[in-house]
Amino acid sequence: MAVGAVVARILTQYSDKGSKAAQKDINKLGKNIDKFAKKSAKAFGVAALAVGAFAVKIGKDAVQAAMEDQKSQALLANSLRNTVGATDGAIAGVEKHITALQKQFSVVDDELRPAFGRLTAAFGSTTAAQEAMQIALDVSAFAGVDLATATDAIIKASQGQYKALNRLVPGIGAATVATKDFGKITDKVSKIVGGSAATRAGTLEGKMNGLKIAFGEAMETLGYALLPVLEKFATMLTTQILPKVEAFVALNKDKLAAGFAIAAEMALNLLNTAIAFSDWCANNMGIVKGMAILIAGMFAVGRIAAFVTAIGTITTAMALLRKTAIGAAIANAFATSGVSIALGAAALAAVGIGAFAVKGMLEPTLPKEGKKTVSPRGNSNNRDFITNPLGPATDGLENFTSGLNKATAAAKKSTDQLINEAAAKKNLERQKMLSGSTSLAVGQGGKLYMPGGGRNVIVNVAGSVTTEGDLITAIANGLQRKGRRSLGNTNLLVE
Amino acid sequence: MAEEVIVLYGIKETLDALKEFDKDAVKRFNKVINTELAGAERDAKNIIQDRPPMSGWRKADAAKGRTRGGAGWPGWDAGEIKSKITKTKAQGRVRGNYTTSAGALLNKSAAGAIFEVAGKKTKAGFGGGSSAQFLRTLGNRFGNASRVVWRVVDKDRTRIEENVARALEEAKADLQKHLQGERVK
Repeated sequence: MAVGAVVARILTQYSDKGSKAAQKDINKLGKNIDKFAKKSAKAFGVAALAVGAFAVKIGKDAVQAAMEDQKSQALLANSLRNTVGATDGAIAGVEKHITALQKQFSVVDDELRPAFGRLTAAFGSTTAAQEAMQIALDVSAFAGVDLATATDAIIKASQGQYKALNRLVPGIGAATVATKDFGKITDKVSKIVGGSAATRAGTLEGKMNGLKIAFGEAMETLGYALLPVLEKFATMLTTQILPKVEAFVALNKDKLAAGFAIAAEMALNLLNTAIAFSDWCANNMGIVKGMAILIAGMFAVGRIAAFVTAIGTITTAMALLRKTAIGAAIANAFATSGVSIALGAAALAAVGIGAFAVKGMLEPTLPKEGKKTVSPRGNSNNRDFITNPLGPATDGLENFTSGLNKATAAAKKSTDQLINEAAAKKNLERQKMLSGSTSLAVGQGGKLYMPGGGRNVIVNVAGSVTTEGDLITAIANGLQRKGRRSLGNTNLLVE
Repeated sequence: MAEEVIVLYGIKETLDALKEFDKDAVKRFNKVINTELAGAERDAKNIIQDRPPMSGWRKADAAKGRTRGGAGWPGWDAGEIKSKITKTKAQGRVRGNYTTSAGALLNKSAAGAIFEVAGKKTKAGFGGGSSAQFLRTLGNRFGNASRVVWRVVDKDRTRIEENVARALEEAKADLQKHLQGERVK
């Protein structure tokens, strides 16, 4: 085909080739992003850990460096005060001088301060110590020994012992040494080793040392910033917190000891109780199951209130029975007093309800269905431990309701019988009482008996009576009215 | 050139599925496309005249020279130009909007391409140069660029698209019938 053919598209169709390619690219991009994210997360995580660790290390090193520097300064200041009676101003001047030496010769101040302190003690003045310090630095650089060794050699030389210095600086010469003139010897030494310290500081090693020293100074600066905080914390810890803890322990040591003893004893008792309870459960699995079923059923169907009400009813009923007495006393109450009738009926009903309720609780119906499992203690006799108590609980509640109904019916029946019997008994007593006198007697049906088989009198007592006196009064009034109407002015004696 | 196009969906899928049930239906659809493209191709070829568009446009390739009619300038060979105006159903490069060609006209000859697009980018100015004069003359005689295949496409695209789309819908309906028949079985 010729280059540059003209293409005129007439029909256009959708192609998923491009979308697939785009989807592929997007997926690839997503994977790349995921990889990048994971790598970035790792990198940032490592970096964060590194930064954190580095920060901790920096803080720790800084504080350590500051502490050592502070200690070194304190020791030098103390030495200067003791040896030459240096003032604070003189001490500050010495510190300034040491700082300058450190920067100039790349020797750390922690080496300079002890050396300066010893030189001051040896020569008795800070000025002489400064001159000797310069020589010591040169000797150290010249001989390749540390500053402490060079300082020792110079101090010994000042005391007439030149061997060490002669060994470090061989070119002093026997003649010079023989003079035993410390001034001449130091002049000779200065001529030999002069400028060695500066030269060493100018080398790569010296510059690297200078770099380390500068870094150390920065750390010390940082540490000095952190030290007050730590000091404050340490001070508070030692002056405020620890004394209070000690005082508390001192004041309450006996209680604490007793408390620990009680706690240990209670723990032991609890353990023993738990063991005993566990054994009791294992030996009385039937009761446990019944109680568990009943309680679980109550919780399951929300009948806790009913249970509490039943308990309260039983309690009330027992209290009423104690007040009104059981049996004949109740019968008398029905016959003689309206109030007692109501109380007696309630008491009997409550007793019946309570009896059935307790019976229902103590004799729970075993479930028809339920998943059986091995008891927690592995006892094969207890393999019918019920893990699904809802069914049995429902049965138990049905029995409970049925018991309530039966108790109510029994109480009602008993009440009716007692009322009839008590009323009949009382009526007989009144008839007996009336048959021996001229008084009237009230029988069932309200008939009035006259001695010797006289006329019958019907007595209707309307309204309620609350006491025996009211009843008698009502009967007497009725008889009076009846006598006036049917017998004329008959005077009836009512007792 | 028309700005709006009808994008046909599911040509390949429909035809691939329809092949399994009714090859005649596939043939009917392909015949519609081929007929429409053939008509467009014929219309495009009819635009090409045997006589060169301009008197100076030689019929044979120039042997030498750098100006029009010189070395490298394609001669106006009407037979070759017409023969290289063809139809194609090859899918082209997928564009950004995920569409490709289902049918196109190609103008593959050099002379035909010059005649087709000359002046599309470079407008004829008022200068006296030969290029400007060429473009002006070409424009005056044959109109603006898009003078062969694009002219046909712009003129007949809507009709062709509608016819092909209708055929595609019929093919889809045929396929649906066959699929429902299969489901009933």
